[in-house]
Amino acid sequence: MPSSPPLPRRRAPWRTPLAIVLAVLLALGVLAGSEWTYQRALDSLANLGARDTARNAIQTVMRRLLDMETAQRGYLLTGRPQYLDPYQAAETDIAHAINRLREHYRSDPELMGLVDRLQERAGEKISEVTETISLYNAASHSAWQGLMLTDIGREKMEGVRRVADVLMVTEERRLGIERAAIYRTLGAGRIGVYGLTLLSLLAYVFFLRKNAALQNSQIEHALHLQKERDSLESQVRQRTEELAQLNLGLQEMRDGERSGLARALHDDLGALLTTAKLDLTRLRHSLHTTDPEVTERLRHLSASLDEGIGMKRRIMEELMPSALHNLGLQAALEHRATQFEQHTGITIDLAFMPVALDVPAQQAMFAVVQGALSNIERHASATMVSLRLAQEGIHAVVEVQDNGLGFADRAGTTSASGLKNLRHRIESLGGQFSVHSVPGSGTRVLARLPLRHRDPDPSTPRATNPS
Amino acid sequence: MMAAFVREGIPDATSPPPDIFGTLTPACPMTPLRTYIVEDNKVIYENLVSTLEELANVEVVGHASDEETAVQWLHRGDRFDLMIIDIFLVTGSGLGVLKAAQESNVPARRVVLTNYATPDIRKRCALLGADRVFDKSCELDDLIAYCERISDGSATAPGGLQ
Repeated sequence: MPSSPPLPRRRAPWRTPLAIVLAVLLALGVLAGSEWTYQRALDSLANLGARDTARNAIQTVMRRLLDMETAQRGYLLTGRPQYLDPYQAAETDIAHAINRLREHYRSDPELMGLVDRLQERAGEKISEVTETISLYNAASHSAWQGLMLTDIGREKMEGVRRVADVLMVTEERRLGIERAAIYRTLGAGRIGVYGLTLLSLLAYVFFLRKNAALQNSQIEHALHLQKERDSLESQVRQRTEELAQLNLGLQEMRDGERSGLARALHDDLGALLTTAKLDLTRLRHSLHTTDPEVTERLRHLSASLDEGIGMKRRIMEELMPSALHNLGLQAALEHRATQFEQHTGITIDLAFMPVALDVPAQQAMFAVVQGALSNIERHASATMVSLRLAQEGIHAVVEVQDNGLGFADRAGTTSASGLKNLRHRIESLGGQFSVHSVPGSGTRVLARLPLRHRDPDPSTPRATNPS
Repeated sequence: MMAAFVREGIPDATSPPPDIFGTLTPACPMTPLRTYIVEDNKVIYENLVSTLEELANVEVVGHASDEETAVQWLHRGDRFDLMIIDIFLVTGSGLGVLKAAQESNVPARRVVLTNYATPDIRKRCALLGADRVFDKSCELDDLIAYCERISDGSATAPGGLQ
């Protein structure tokens, strides 16, 4: 039995550990990338908010100073105290705004300096306004007018505006830088997503390809197994066929030997014994004796010769039914049926049609009938038997049916093994053999063999059928 | 089977052979019985011929060992009185010869001498026009007696002798 070749191990080392590491790395990369982008954007947005606050604070300082100046002028022109309300509110607002700016620039000493200067300038402006209002309240109108005319208020206001402008420009620049950072972050995030998407796609394609390769290898494996199975099956079939052929050959050889032996018995021993009988007859006629002893000897000799001839005939018939050999299947079956009837007292219902079968097929058919009738004689306790020989299409059919005991399964018995041999013999000649048996309802044995176109072979005896 | 055979094998124990010392002796120079023999075994044939010639005033006019030769001879139409036929031949069978003789309305007697004298064969031979069937082993005496009775005129017409 050929051993199967070892199957190729298709598990590449990349498969499990590396693939998992790569997948985890990829997932971590996606997570880290998106988290980084998110944090950067969040930071930038927070910074933008803070810068807005700072800008608002600067603008508040400027607006409140202008409010204060407007209030100063309104009060100075009209002397109505309600103009002082915005002035008083403005001072508090400015202080708050300055505080917000300090808060905002607490980590930036350079800008902190600018805030100090803004506060200083704003303070100077406030004190100028406070001074003029104090002078107005003290009714020293020339003094506050003089102060106003010195243009000191405008100069102070100008100083505040310059510092505020520097701060605003700085803020604008930083805002620009923050925006650019946000764009870069977003751009980087986008590229990262593209890259990761591409990587994921590549990994997926890689996975699909590897998966396809794995499936291919599995299919290949399955095909390989199938091929091996087929090969084994075909080997078994071939061996079985060889054995069947061998069996058929042995059967033919056995039949040939038996047939030859039977022929030798008939031709040689038979002739010898018949000649002896003829001699004895002549002797008896020519002796002219009435001696009872001689007559008795001659009678005994004749009886012995007859016994010898009878023995020869029985051996011959057992070896090969002479009717089968000389007169054909039908005559042999008729003879066998007559014998059966004589032995058992059971009448056989015969239905014969002439069929053309070659010698091995005739012998096999005869063996089937012989086996079936022997089984009936030994086991069946039948009262009716029918024997049919017919032509059905391109087949010759022989059927033996009885109404005996039947059997369910007599596996292992001699009958069963006999039936098995018959089946094998019929099947090896290309025929079919079947046994239907129901306990209590009898048995039906049927054999079917292909008809042969009978060659005009001079050695084949012609089965003459007087009708 | 054995018992039956032995019983059949010794016919002269119960019925003595037909008058050995009277009619069997070729006392009168009668015309010999022209006989054609169909037998495939040379040894049997030779011994049968010498026995019949010695005991039954038989003259062998021809011999065949197969069906075809015998049938051809029959068709030649030579005159003869008796045909002794074996059933099992080299080729063909004695039944075929009987059938041919029956079909050509041969006036001579046909008898069968066979090792296979089963009831079935006896019946078939009778249907094919055989006058008698003799078993080769145990009925040789009967055959000789039969031949004698034909040649001495005891039987005058085919089929009339039983």
